[in-house]
Amino acid sequence: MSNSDWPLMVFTLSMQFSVGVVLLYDLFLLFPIALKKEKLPLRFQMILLVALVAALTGVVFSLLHPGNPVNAMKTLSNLNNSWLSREILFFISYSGMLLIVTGLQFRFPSAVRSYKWLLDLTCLTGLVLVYVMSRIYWLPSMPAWDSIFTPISFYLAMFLSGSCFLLLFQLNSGSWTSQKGLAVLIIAIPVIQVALLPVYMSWLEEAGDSARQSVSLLLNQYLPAFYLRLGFEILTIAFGFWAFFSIRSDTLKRRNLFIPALLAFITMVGALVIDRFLFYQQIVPIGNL
Amino acid sequence: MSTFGFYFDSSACSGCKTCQVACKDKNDLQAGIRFRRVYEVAGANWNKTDEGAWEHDIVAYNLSIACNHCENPSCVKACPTTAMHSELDGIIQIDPKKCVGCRYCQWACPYGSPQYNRQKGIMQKCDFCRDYILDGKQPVCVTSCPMRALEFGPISQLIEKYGDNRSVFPLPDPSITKPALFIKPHPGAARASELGGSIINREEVKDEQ
Amino acid sequence: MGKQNRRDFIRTSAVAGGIALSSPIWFPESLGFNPGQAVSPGLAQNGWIKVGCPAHNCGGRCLLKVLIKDGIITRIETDDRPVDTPADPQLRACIRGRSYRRRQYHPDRLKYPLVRTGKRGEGKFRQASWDEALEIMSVEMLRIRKKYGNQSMFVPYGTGSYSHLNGRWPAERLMNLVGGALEYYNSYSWACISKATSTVYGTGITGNQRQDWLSSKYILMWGWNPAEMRDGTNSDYFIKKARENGARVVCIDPRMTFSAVSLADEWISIRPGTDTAMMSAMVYVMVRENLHDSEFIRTHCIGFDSTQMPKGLENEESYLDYLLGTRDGQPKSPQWAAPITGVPSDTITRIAREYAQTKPAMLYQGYGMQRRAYGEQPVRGGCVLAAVTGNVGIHGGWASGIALQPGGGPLWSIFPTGTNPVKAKIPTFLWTEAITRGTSLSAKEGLTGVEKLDSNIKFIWSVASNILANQHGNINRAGRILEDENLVEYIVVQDQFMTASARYADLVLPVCTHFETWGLEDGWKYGEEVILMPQVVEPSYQTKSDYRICAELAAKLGVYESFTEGLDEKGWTRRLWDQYRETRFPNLPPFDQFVESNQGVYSVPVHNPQISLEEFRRDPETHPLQTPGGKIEIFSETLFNLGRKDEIPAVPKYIQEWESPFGPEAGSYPLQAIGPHYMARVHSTHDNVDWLKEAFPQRVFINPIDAKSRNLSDGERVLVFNDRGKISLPCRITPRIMPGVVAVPQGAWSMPGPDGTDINGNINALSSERWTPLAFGNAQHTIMVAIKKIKP
Repeated sequence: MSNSDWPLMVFTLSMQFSVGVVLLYDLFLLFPIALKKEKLPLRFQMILLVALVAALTGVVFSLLHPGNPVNAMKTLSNLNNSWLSREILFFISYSGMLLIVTGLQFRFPSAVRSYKWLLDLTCLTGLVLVYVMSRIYWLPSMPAWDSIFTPISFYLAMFLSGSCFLLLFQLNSGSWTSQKGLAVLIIAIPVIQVALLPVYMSWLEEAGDSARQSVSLLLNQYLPAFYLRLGFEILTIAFGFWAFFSIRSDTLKRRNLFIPALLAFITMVGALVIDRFLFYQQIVPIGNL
Repeated sequence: MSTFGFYFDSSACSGCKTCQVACKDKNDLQAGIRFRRVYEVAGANWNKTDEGAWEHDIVAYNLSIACNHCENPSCVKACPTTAMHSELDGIIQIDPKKCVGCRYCQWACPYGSPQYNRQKGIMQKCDFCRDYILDGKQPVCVTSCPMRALEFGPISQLIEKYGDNRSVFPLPDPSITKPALFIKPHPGAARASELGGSIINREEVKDEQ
Repeated sequence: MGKQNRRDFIRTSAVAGGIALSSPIWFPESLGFNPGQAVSPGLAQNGWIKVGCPAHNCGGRCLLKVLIKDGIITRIETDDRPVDTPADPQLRACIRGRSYRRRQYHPDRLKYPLVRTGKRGEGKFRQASWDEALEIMSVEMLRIRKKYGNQSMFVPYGTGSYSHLNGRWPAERLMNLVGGALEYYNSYSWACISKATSTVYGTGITGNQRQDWLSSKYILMWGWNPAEMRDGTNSDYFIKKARENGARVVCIDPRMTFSAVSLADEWISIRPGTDTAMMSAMVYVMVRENLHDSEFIRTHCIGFDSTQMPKGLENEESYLDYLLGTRDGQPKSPQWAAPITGVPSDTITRIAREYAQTKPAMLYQGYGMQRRAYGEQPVRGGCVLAAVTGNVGIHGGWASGIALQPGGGPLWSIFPTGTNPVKAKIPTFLWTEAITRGTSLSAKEGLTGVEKLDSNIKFIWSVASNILANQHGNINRAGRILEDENLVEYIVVQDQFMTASARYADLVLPVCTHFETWGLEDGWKYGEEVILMPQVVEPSYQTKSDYRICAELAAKLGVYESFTEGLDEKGWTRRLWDQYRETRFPNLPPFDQFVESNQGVYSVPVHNPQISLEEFRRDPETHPLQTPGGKIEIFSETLFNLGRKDEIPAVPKYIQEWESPFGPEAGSYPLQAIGPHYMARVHSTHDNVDWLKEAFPQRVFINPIDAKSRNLSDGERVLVFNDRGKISLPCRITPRIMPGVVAVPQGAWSMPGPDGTDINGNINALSSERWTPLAFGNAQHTIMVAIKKIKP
């Protein structure tokens, strides 16, 4: 991994986290509230703020990556061909909309219904953004990235980080059902991630010399990291179960959820950071030139 | 659509890297940036015989690779700023005034051609010595080769003269980008893959920036 | 400024040496070179100028085109004459010539004279003016001459500058004008091959002109690596052309060299120092299968079998006796040779058949195998192989041996150095002995001209030479000898950089580069050309040409007029040019016209290449060789009469080397280490050029089998050592070297670390000062070493 990949790692993770938070917030929390015409709990306003901060962190780190950021404005010049141009377009759109919707929510907390369409649009933009982001890496020259596994892995990271965060955040205020739903995600996504690993690796084995060398990198040089990541995933699943069974309809006992939710969040961060580290680390260009 | 190409006779290349340095001199490149790189490929099994001698089945050869000015250039598609662009004559160039230094072209190029200049924060690469071509001269690497293993010319002419082989182990499938690089493989190249051959001078070709 | 201690030197060199590749680029402007500075009249201001390349002891002689802008070289290209044919090929410069700007404008160039302030070898100096420096030097010269005589003064072998009037020649001329100096004979390059070739052929002119290679059908490149050592500009290209004409090429070498990869159909790995065993086995096969040219042997050779022994020696061991084991009971069969050479017996048999049966065939022997313990033997063995297959004196053949060119050939330098009043000569390699025990040397150590020396060496004037502490065998020992101020009393080093040798100087004189003065060159070993080296830029800093320095010193010594004969550098170049016009090249244009034309090179196309020994081949009775018997001496009566048959046999024999994988030393030091020429350098010149270090970093090359047993990974820094020294450098794991052998390219600048370990990988920290028995040549490649990980 070259030094310039570190900012990209932070950028992709924080953007996926941001989109995940906004999306799950919209689906799990806001949707029921909007349905019931309730006033937005004050605490919920912070959620979008966190998503916004994550997106702005992404902005900062994305600017650390290029060697000549003076030309940053020129990066929108190749929308016809370049997935990077498109990513930047969606990135700007998403962040802009998120900024507006966050502002609206703070200014008009009770009028959620009137601007929920904007939040929905932000979610949609975010979903497209994650896809476009994955297309940047979906390159014939990089066999380890050159497949549908790349968008899948990005979306899974998005859902997992979003759900872990939301569960932790709405300990006292979320609905019993939405908490159950988030806990299910916290269990299910790592299970999918772990289950996909052998599928991905065996696909790589068949995808040519360079792809095979990627497998070999993962299983030799980066084996400790690889195992560490696996461990974090399994722990996340375990804490997900713990959280799931700690969820009670009785609001008084919800504090019991704090510890498993926090642990799940921490192990999730560990798993995703290592996963993304390996994502950049494992590449062997085609021909290995 | 590229009009010009390189012909490279891998069977005659000694690996002396005169082309690499001739290019560096013309383009004033500091150590670490190589518009043209010479990859050393080798693979072998060594066995001691019953009479105490050594037997081997070695394959070794060199690949001198610059920018192949591909007919289907993935770098141009990847570039978000259009700094990486194809001129009307098919020569792919980087406009330093536009380049943001995101290095995405480096990922997209399957030949390791775009080079990152840390001091300038932008990408640089071989431009076929476009100024020389416009002047009716050959690229400087071509005229430097002590073995006369490099040639330059219109693609149609090179294909007519040398055929349309654009690949050799371990170069990528030419269908990805259609490189304007026509190769006469070293006689041993056919066995390189089965011998587990690999690039053994990685430190001499890697992007160090 | 003005003081440069050793640690700073090492640090700056390490950085400049490419270890820190992100260090800022240096181009002239950043070094304070002032574009647009005043340029002397007569110097081209701007534009492309053609200049000969290189200025060192490279086997190539090429042509550069340099682009001058405001007094600075801004670009370098090469020969682009429109016609490029084998008869008159373009002289295309290699990577070293193309990277000259990085040497010319290197920040470490010596800038002004330096006088030693610390202990000798410590590397502490102060800045001095030219007048002061030359005053000190002349006083020391006169003092030492008065005290010890002219035999105590020595201008060592050195090849860092090679343009006729730059380099050691003007210093020799000056010494000869002031009473002379101890002289040397032979060289670090060719001691054994020049001596031993003559024992077979009575001459060193055994080669054909290279265009003749295109007539050959089979070429054995035996330890010969023209692509990498640049053994003649275009030699590799001629082999390529020979292959296009249908020649099969086989390379026999411990390494799969650049030449093996690009020029050969097959590479045969052979253990260093065992070439004569394989050669003997090949002749054995030929004899057994009756493939040798018995008619040619009968008419042209002496000593092949008992029927053609010299008179009075009929009962001595003939070559055939040796092959069949008549005396020693050991037939020299391929089965005998296989475990010695590491070459399978089947392969030896096959190559013997191919070489004997494909006509005409060339066996071109390289020079590395003769810089070894018994380096005379493979030279004689190669010549004998050429003779017994009848490949001598024919088109497409090759008589082997040193193979100088017929028809006069290049002359290296024609600068008139005058006559040396001192008649004593030592072998080049034995200068350390002449320092430590000069007065006890005798003919036994190769001393000629006198019975005994009057004095040990007391004054060294080293010009364009890095022999003292870099290129000699066992430089740790050499360093200890030089350090002792009671031995050599004064050392002057004249160079362009603070080399390892310059660190031992009492006085360092900064020299300009060949771009900054006038000179010319001819074709090294080959080629029919004269190449002009005009001055294209002003000397940098306070540097002066070797000639100018000598002239100014001549003034101090009162011989200015006789030294200069009223000529400056350009004047001398003109005079030498005229000499070429009067001798080798009658059609050479007049000097001033040639300079004006910016043509750069004058070459004579070779359409009908000359063949050595052609007349002898045709009629050996009328045109006998200059050997005692007038024929090819497979058995040498001269060598027999030396009476040292164990070390100097009368027929070429395989002799186990004094450091060998078969000796007890292999227990502690199991690997043979060889020091090949490296593409990144001409000997030690260019070692500080970043573009070259980037392309070819200094590494120890090791086979995967040897790396695995030592648990080494590619690129890891390792320790290579033996009883004489230690070096540390990264390893390169490559299947292109045979197991049991490692290669450490020779010429890396010696950089001893705090514990004496050379951190730049100079193989001479491991090599030996022991010389070969007959030629008194260097045997630096015969060494055994061990390798271990530095990090456990």
